[in-house]
Amino acid sequence: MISVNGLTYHYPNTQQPALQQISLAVRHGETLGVLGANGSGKSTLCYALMGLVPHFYKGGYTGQVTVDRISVANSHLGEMAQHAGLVFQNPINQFSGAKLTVEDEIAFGMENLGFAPSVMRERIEWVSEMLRITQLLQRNPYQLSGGQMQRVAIASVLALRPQVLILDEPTSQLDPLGTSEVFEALRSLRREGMTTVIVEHKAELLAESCDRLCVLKDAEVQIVDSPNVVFGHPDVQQWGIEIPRYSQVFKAFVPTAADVPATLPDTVERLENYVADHD
Amino acid sequence: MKTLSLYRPRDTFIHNGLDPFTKLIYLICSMISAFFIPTFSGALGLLVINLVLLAWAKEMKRALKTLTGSLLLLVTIFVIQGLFHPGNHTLLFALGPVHVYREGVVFALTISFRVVNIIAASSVLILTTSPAAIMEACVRRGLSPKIGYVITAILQMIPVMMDSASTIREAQQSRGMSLEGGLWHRMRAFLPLLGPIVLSSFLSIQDRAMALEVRGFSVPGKRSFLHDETVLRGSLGLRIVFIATTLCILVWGILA
Repeated sequence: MISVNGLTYHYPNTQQPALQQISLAVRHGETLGVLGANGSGKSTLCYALMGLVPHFYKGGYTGQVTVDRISVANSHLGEMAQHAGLVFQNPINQFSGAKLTVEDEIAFGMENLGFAPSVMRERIEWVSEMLRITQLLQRNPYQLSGGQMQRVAIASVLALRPQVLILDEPTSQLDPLGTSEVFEALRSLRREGMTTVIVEHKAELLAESCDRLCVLKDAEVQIVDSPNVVFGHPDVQQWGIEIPRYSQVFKAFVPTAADVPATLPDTVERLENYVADHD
Repeated sequence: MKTLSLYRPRDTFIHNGLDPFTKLIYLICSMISAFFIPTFSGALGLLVINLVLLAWAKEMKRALKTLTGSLLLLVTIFVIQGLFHPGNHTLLFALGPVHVYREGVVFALTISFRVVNIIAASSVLILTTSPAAIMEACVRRGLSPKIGYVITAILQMIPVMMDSASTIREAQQSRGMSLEGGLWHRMRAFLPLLGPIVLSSFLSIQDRAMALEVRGFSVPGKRSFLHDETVLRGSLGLRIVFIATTLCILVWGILA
């Protein structure tokens, strides 16, 4: 569904690459989590998958990015909007600012692309049920809680029925309740088979919600593998990423393990097995 | 978060029965008429129509508040014109050395009727129609969606930016910056606020521009609308009546 081959990019007026020789592939229906320290290139990778790099941000661009069989560099952003959707960090900044109700906000992108009103209504109903915002449809989007705002932002993007959903730190400005609302919504999208790329710092939540994790450091991909392998990697401390508490506990018991569990149920199971084996 | 708009939803014919475009045509016609009506009785008639519409919309109280706000301007017009109008020669009354002339007062009355009529007619539109609905009506009739967006978004975004500015101000105050004291002190204290406010606004604008792009804002081609435009049967006739009446007033004003 997503294919990145040898992508190198630097922003205008800089020589320092924001992405260096990035190659990765995401399968249909897969959820890929992206981790990395600040400045490692996570947001730039999101922009490259969406086409904002190189269409919105110019600069030096080599390599190839394909999303839903569309070459990102050769497509317009409007065309990309129906293949991929991007959710930003700050929910307030991604609202159109011109709509007074959540329903109208969700319809904004579809209106821009000339969808028929009947199709818009059908999609608003579909997306609002999936993200559990039906009761908010007539509310002002600016009067919602952070978690509700971010779910409306996700709904606004999903209403265009993209094949790929890209989220750039969608919970960085949310409280724990808002964060859990957003991740619950993402888990339901995963069940629906949506291909998703999530940039996040919250490793525990990513481990629960992702099939694979990609770690970026200094603009380069360090590893793309399952959460268990990534968090059990001997270099994980040097990559500047947070390790889930459960993985830390398991590592304390089994320092030599090549892969470590990253969620609570897995950790409990693996520790029980470990204790049983060593009794 | 409030919107920078005077519109309050109400269930009246003026709010929901008349479509925004007809109300906009009414406003334009009223403004032109206010300028060209050559007699006081005609101007008074237009004012009565505006006030009846405002009463029908149950917005008389708020409209009168706006009109009261213009009272200082009207009084100033009367004083200046009554005393210093270039055509003054018929003395109306004198208060000691102050002479008030008939021509000046008549001219001031003409200007005042225009001002009051324009405010009242604008109130009919602004108090009963959301800015988004007005812009949507214009975009449906060929106004560039980008212009429509800019006007609507400004009204919605100014309170958001003010909220953000207030957060930055409180953050600076919590770190010891004082905004109390004399004018000079407050002006100097305001300078350090400008950097973060302007910078955060630029960052927000960049994010918003990207968010708009990924939702197809720049895609050329015809836009569609979620809501059908509810147009009163006969509204076309109503608009024709407004325009025809205005043309008659225009001719009357030019000939008179």
